Amino acid sequence: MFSIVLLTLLDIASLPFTHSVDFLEPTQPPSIQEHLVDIVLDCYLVEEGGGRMGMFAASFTREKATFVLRKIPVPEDEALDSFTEFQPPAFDEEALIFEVTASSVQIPGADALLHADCNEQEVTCEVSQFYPRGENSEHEAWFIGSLQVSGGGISLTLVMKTQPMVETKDVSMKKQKKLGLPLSESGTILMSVQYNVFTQAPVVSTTIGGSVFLDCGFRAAQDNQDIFVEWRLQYKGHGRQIFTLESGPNVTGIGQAYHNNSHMDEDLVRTHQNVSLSLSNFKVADEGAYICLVTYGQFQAQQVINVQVLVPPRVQLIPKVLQFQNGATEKVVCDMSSYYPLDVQVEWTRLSPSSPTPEEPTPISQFYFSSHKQHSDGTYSLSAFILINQDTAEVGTTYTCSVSHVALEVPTVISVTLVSADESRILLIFGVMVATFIFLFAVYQLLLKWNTSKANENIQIKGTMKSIKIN
Amino acid sequence: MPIFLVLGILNFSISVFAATHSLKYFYTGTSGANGFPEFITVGMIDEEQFTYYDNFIKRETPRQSWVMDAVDPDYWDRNTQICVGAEQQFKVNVDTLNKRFNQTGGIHTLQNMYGCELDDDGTTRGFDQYGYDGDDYLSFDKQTLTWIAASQRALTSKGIRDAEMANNQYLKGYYEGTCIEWLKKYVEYGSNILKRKVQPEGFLTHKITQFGTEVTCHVTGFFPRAIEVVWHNGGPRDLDIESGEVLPNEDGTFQVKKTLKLTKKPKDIKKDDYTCRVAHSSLPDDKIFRYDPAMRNPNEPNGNGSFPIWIIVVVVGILLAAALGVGLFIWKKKSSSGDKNPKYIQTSTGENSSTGSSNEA
Repeated sequence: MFSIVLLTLLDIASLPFTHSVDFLEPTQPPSIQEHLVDIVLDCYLVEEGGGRMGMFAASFTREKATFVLRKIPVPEDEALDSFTEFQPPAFDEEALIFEVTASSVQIPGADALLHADCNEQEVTCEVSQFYPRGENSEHEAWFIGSLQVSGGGISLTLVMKTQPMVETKDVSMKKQKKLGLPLSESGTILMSVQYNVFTQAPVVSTTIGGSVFLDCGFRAAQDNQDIFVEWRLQYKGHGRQIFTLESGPNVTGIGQAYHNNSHMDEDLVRTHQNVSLSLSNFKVADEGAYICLVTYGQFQAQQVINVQVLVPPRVQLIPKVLQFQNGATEKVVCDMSSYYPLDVQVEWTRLSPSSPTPEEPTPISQFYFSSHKQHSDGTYSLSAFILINQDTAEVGTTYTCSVSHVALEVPTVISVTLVSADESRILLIFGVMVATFIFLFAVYQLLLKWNTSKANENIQIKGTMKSIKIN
Repeated sequence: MPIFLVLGILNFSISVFAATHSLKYFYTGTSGANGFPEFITVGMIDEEQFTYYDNFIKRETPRQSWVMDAVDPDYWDRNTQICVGAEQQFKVNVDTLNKRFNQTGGIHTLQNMYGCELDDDGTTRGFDQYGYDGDDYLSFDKQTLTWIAASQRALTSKGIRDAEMANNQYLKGYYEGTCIEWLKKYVEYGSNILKRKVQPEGFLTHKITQFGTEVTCHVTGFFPRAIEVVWHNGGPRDLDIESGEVLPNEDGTFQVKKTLKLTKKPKDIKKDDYTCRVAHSSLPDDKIFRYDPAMRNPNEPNGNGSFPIWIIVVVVGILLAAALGVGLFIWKKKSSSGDKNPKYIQTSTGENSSTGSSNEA
């Protein structure tokens, strides 16, 4: 019985980890019950200019700006009292205020921008000017706006153009100092959204063999244009097409999948302007930045969806029973196997029974790593080990290995306690002896019983014989 | 699963041996790394380095002897000038991107990888891409003459580069023409080195672990780099294999290790159950290495130290107890068969003989 007790291990299994794969519903069309609000965001005007060929830019500027999305419909039930209509500040030619209307282009999920503050999220807003091919009007300027809610919230790419300004001889017409663009009476640069490519989930994760849903949609001011959708994967210097689809008034859209397990619901492209892509049987090699590039008529814009593979490490301590066996030092190995991605943090601690602070284990700074091993599925294994010395190690000390990994919600903690070798050997011998005695005693009992019944038989036979035998 | 695995292997074998030549340049601009060159270029032919430049030596230099024959005398001056120009560009570019990403210190890198590939059937490809701090930033699509932004932050840079139509046209021309011409020239001059075939050597080692047996197929000394090393057990089951990277040897050849992890001890494995197959362009037929679990291996550990103690304890315990038990039994038997014990007669009348014996004990 003792031997069984000794083999009971201090084995804390690694905590099960559930992967969350967000399957998002296609954006709903706006409900009837809605309200119009102004969304005011702190923004930057980003300029890379004056570069020669092959340069990103010889000069770079980033200037503070205000980005106002005017009259955006949000659901009625939102607490609207707290949102007021945008009040422009005092007229200032140097102020950069983009007053943007989206009357003809829906901005799905715009209310997420409104509530970002309350949800302790930040909105990154950048606006930069661009020069579309074939568009050389002097009367209008084009801008691209990139809005992202932190923490994996909605991401929007807005293609905007300034309100066409009628050329007037009116010299009193004010222009914005930096951009040289006409200002409205209230001192803003008036723009309208022409095109919008968005995703509700710019960061998603999955496990090996799992599925992902890459959300991407678009809205445009114009109707009935040709659509060209291209999904690309770009990662660590390698880029490839994943899926393309051409669809339009004169083109029957047939998706071309370059990745075996990619799927797009092609009916939704035209009816719901939804170009989301599903990927199944995901592999480590499929990881990376998925670029959703949507060309609609003359417009082109994109979103990037980063897909990560997350596989938590399986953690175990070796040996299961820690005692000094073959010498003065013993090796305790914390084995972390089959995890992804590569980075993993290990901490070792020690808690001896004589410790004055039993609730605070002592960190072990000196420990060693094996080299990384990579498996055929792309996952990694690593082990970290400590060496304990018979002269300094105290029996009853608990050694704990704590493993943190991006795929683990909480670190996996696993411990082993040092038992005395003599103690364990005596217990072992004693246990084996007791077990053997119990066994042999049972055998002896059986033998005895067999012998007794045999003896009884003998007597019976003898008795029978007695009557035959002449005694 | 089994079908995928088989298809995967087939696919792999095809891609490994389809002859493709490539010319690639890697530019690396660094800021904040003291003592490390701020700008480096490395030229590669068929994954072999052939040129090098950095801002310390300020000179494009050959890294393969055959390059000297392939190029004209002005080649090194010309290319040095190109590198000096690129060095200035990268200095500005790294600075721009530092600002773009709101960075005020630390080490940052901008990488540009460009080049072209030529298949045996004449198919060509070209690529030109940038990465910042290890993440993809922009890559050139020569079909559409546009730049692909791998992050939303790269959109501004994309906008500017997309508008540089003359430059984009030049790049397309370079990748489809100039680059391929140079690639052909280099391959021709370097063919003795680049097209040489060196056969691999291979050997198996094994070790016993806590979980079972690890058998390593170590293949070394081969050229070119492309190789296929696969473990088989005759079945379609996916074998748990740890795959090492293909690593360079000092003499320009390569080595690779593939370790098979078995949950069985060697004694439970049959000879020739597992084979390591090596396919390489230098070999007329695949080389097969068969695993013999009885093979000697100098690295083999002594196994688990507590195991013999267990055996000794158990054996001694059994022997002791058995001797005692047998002794008792014999003594009992002797005493019962010696003189007729009246108890036996008594119990013989009763049904429960066990009560009698337990009383006696």
